[in-house]
Formats: sequence, C-alpha cells, structure tokens
Amino acid sequence: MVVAQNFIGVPQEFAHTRINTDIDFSFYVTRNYTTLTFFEAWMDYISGGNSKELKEPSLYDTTSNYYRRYNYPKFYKNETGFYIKKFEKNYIVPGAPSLTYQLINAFPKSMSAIPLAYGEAEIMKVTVTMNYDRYRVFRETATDSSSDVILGPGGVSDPTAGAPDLPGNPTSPLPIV
Amino acid sequence: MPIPSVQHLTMIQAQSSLGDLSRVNLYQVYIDNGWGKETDGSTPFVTHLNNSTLQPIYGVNYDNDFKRLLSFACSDATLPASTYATGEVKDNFIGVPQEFAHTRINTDIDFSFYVTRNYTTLTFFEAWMDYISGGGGAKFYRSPSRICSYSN
Repeated sequence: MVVAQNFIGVPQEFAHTRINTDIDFSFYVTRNYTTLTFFEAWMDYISGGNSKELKEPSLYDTTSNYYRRYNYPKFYKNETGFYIKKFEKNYIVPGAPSLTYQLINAFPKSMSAIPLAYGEAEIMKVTVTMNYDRYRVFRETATDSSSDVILGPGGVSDPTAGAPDLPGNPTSPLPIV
Repeated sequence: MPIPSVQHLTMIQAQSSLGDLSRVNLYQVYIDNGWGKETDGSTPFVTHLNNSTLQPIYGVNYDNDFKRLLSFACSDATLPASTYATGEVKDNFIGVPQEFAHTRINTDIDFSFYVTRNYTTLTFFEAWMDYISGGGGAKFYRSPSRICSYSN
C-alpha cells in the first residue's frame, strides 16, 4: 500500500498482506508408480464426486452424467502434516542445527505433465505445485538421542560428518516465525 | 503433530524401498475405437475413414495392425496434467489470504508420431481433423494426370 501524502514527494509503502507463493516439488516416480498415484489420489479427492453412499457417478464412470462435487477444504487441506527439513552432513552430531518448515493447510494445486520419449532411459519425475495458507519455521539442534541412527554396512557411520558448526541448545524446538 | 526427525537411507535400503525408478522411455499409446456411436452401433468416424472415396486418399485401414503401428510410432508422449483454479478468500483472517480449489483444469498434452513411409500415421490424424470440421478430405484430391506424373 502506497501512502503519498505523508511527505511531499516521498511516497512510502506499508505491508498489509503476506503472500505465500506456491512451491514446486519434484518427486522421482517409483517403479510401482505410488509416488505418482498418491498425488493423483489427493487431486481426485479434492474434486470428489464419487460417493457410493449418495450413488454418485464414479470417477471412472464414462457416461456423460459425470460431475464433480468438491470436498470441503478442511478435509483436503493438510493442516499441519507437511514438513520440509533442511539439515547438513553433521546432522547427527549433538548441537548440529536444522531448520524445519511446516506448511499450514497445504494441498496440491497442480501436477505437471510428465514427458515421455523414446531415447535415453531417464528417470521419470512428477512435479507437484503445492499451495498453502502460511508456514512456520522451527529451529532444532541435534541431541544425543540422535545417535540411534541406522548405520551403513559394517556399522560405519558417515565419515564426512563434521563437528557442529554452531553451539546448540538441545531443548524443544522454538518457532521463530 | 511432532516434527519429524531426519530419516536415514542406506544404499541397501534405497534399493529395497525405492527399487528401480520408472523410466520415461517405456510406454505405448493406444488409440482404440472409442468414438461416439450411432444408435445402430456404427461409428461415424470409422465409417468416414473407410469411406470408399476417401479411403484410397487416406490410405488408413483402421484395424489391429494399424493400432499396433500407432502405438509404436509415438515417439514423444505426455502423461496428463491437471491444475486447480482457485478462488481467493481474504476475509477469514486479516492479512492471511486463503485459496480454495473450485475448478479442475485439464491442460492439453502433446504427442509426436513418427510418420511412416506410406504416411498413414499422418493421414490418420488428418482424417480425424477433417471429420471434425466435416470436410470430405478434398484437399488431398489431385487430378489423375497429376498422380500419374508423380508415379513416373
């Protein structure tokens, strides 16, 4: 919002709404296609329209009377269960910090078309655009309890794991936003 | 809901859980007879394809061999995509706009086909486009003398 009247010749701007832009995620598609069909199922659930109890036409009904009856946003939006965790190689060292972003009320707004082509055997990926109302950020530090990691063959842990780069506070995570 | 901890994946676990990932070059495209039918069970588009006047021009014999040819001739395909159009609600919470899906939009997808030497994969789609606009495929007509000169 621009206010031009406070000072002559000096327009000022003030924030009034925080806009969270959509986020894209690309997933490898597994051989049994479950990473793809999971998001297909979520998208299908949003537009609904196949309640057996109400004898509504099935999603797979090819007759022309198919219609969509959208489900309530409360039920298709994932209120608190969508996280993005950012960590470094030293994540198992006590005190190592990590950031966790929690998307509030997330739902898939779009799935990109997946190109197929003869030629090189590239791995198939699906890109999903997620919409959300807002997000929260949590800062965590690794504790000794993190040492119950599953080690690789022979019990060798990651040799690249270094010392903690920041002094940590092994308490409960604190929301900073 | 607790914040999830970092999950670990060894190479052995990666092989068993992710397994082989899907590859983009393994697919086939089928175009079967799903066109609309008349009350007598006939399919007007297939009738158009097999029209005695047009069939020699299109050169398409819509049988299992041609369907098989189509399925292998598709060099590039696309798995469908969809997008939700959303409405924005700004009044529920001050400063927190929310979006709600209201319309599912299915975007167009592209397919590329190799053109065979007798051009049937090309003329099949020309025939389909011609049928949509109701033309008789007249643009393919050439005078007999012209055809003759080509063959010489």
